[in-house]
Parts: sequence; C-alpha cells; structure tokens
Amino acid sequence: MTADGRARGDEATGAAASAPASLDAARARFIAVAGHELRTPVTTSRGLAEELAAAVDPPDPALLRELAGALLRNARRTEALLDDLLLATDITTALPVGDPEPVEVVATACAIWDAFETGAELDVTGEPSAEVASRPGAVDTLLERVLDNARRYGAPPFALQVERAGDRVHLTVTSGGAELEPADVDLAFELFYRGEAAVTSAPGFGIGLPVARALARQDGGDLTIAPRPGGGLQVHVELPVP
Amino acid sequence: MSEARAGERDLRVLVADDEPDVRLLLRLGLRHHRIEVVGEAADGEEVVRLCAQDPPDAVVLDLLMPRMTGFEVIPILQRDHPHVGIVAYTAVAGDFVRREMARLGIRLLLKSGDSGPLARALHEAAEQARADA
Repeated sequence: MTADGRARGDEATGAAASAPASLDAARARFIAVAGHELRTPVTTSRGLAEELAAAVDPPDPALLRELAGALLRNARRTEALLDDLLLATDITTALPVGDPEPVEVVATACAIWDAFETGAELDVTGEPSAEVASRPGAVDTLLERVLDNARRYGAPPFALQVERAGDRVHLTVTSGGAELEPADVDLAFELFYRGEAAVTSAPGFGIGLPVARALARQDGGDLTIAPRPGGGLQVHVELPVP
Repeated sequence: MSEARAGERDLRVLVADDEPDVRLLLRLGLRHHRIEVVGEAADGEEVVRLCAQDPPDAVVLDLLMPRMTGFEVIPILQRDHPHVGIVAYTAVAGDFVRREMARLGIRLLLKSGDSGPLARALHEAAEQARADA
C-alpha cells in the first residue's frame, strides 16, 4: 500500500493520527536509547584499548589484566545490546520455531536465576513440577527477560509463584522496589521505552517486557504487569499446559 | 594521549559514574594530564558525601546515576562547595540537558575515549570555580 493509500485508509478507520505518531515516537525512542546505551561501552572500549597499548611497554601485568577484563566486559555488553537491537528490530521474525514441547517452568526459572549470580534469593511457591507447552527456547527466553527485569530494576524480596488452573499455568514474578509511576506501568510494553529508574540503574534497550509478552502470546498465553502493593512490580505470565 | 598544557597545575579530581569501567578509564586516562583521581563515586549520594569529607578541585559528574542523579547533585555542590569545579559528563545530551547545563553554568562534555578534552574542561572548571568562590 502506498503512503497515500495508507493515509486514506487510516483516516477511514480513525487510526490516521495514532499509527504514524506511534511509529515516530518508537523511532525517536530507539535512536535516543541506542545512542545512549551504545555510546558508553564503545567510547569506553576505545579509551581502554589505548591504555592497554600504553601498558605494554614497559609491561605492567596487573594493569594489563585489569584492562583486558574491562575490555571483555564492554565487548560482551555491546554484543548483548546488539543482540537485543536485532531482536527488537523484528520481534516476530526472531521468535523461536518448532513444535511446542513440555517445559518444567520452576526448574527453568531457578536455573536462570542462579546463573545471574545476584546473591539474592528467589522464593518459589506453588507447584514445583508444573509444565507448560512452549516452542524450544521460548519459555527460557521469556523467563530470562522477566527475571532479568526483576533483578535489574527491582529489589528483594524476589518471588515466583506457580499455579495450575485448568489447562493453564499461571506464573507470577514479583520484586520489591520503589512505588512505580503509573506512566512506567502504562509504557512498559512500548518498545525502547525506559523509565527513569531503568535509565539511571542499568544498561538496556527497553525491550525485555515487550519481547517476553510477544513470546507468551505466540505460545497461546499472555503476559501482564501491575504495581506490587508496597512498591515494586508483579509480572503475571499465563501459558498453556502440554 | 595528549599531555597537560603548560601552566596547568596538578588537579585533585573526584570521578562520579555508576559504570566501574568508565571510572577505571578516567582514573587511568586523566593521569596523563596532571590530574589525580582522589575519589570515585557510583551515585550522587556518594558524591555529596565524598565532597563533604575532602573537597576535590573538580568533579567529573555523570548525569544519570542511581539514588541521586547528577542533576540533583549540582545545586548541592554549588551551594556547599562553590570552589569545586564541575564538568557534566554524559553519553548523550538532548536539548533539555544542554539548556539545563547552560543555565547552571556547568561545562558539558559527551563521553569519549579521548580523555584530553575532559582534562582541559576540568582544569578550566577548577580555575573558574576558584576565581568565582
């Protein structure tokens, strides 16, 4: 459809104002977030590389090790940001393929949480052996995004509650923290949107929850969020049983 | 890496950024410019506390930090430590940030792998703060 055709069609459906404005807003957010998040590791890497070169002669082994470690961290961070960028460019084409298979969600969630090595406890309650039906890797990525969001932007207590109701499994991930602004809750599923707490606390592109919700919906489930009473966030994931 | 310009005295600087690797780079890079990093802060509250303990000649101030942002730190330092130079050091700066720093009289630099421009800004900010205080 041409731009003119789309505009006319949008006028007819009443969507003319919202769709292009939304696209422009997403594009503007993307440019701002990508610029901010990539500039720091890229410029830091350049400076660290110069210091590394200077530390070779005369050799300073301790400094060389420290600089190499810092360069590696920044390279990994840049790589992770680029992975997110590619995923966010087209969530639908980056979704997992394959037939749904049973996945034990508690074991999967606990393995992901342990790998973060936060030192904080994830309090798990409910059905420890609950299984959901999901395409290979989809639930892993979904849970990784939700749990990563909790540990980055939330605070203890961290909890996972798992319940089965009929042909659905309900997972609720809660994290403590500051009282959320209503705008942060409303905008959490906007691609590239990052709330004030996110911008000032951890790197990222603002795609974690949008990606997680897309994964849940592709598997026939859904993902919703709500402020946690007393501060923090509740993320509710609903997925079908095998 | 450029060296310090003639006439510039040694500076004692506090580096404030929530990224440890940025602080490492500044600690190493600024020493080529007659600047000693005498303190490091990972958030705005630490900046205020460290300045109260031992005021430096100048502060490199990231604007987006947890607990207390650079925007909140600036008026506190200007009130309590007017002789401390401040350079805002940020990844990106839109119109609002540029206007706000201009209004507050704060030098603003975008983060870079080259510590030379930051070093020059720190020397200038420290000199101006000493003259104004």
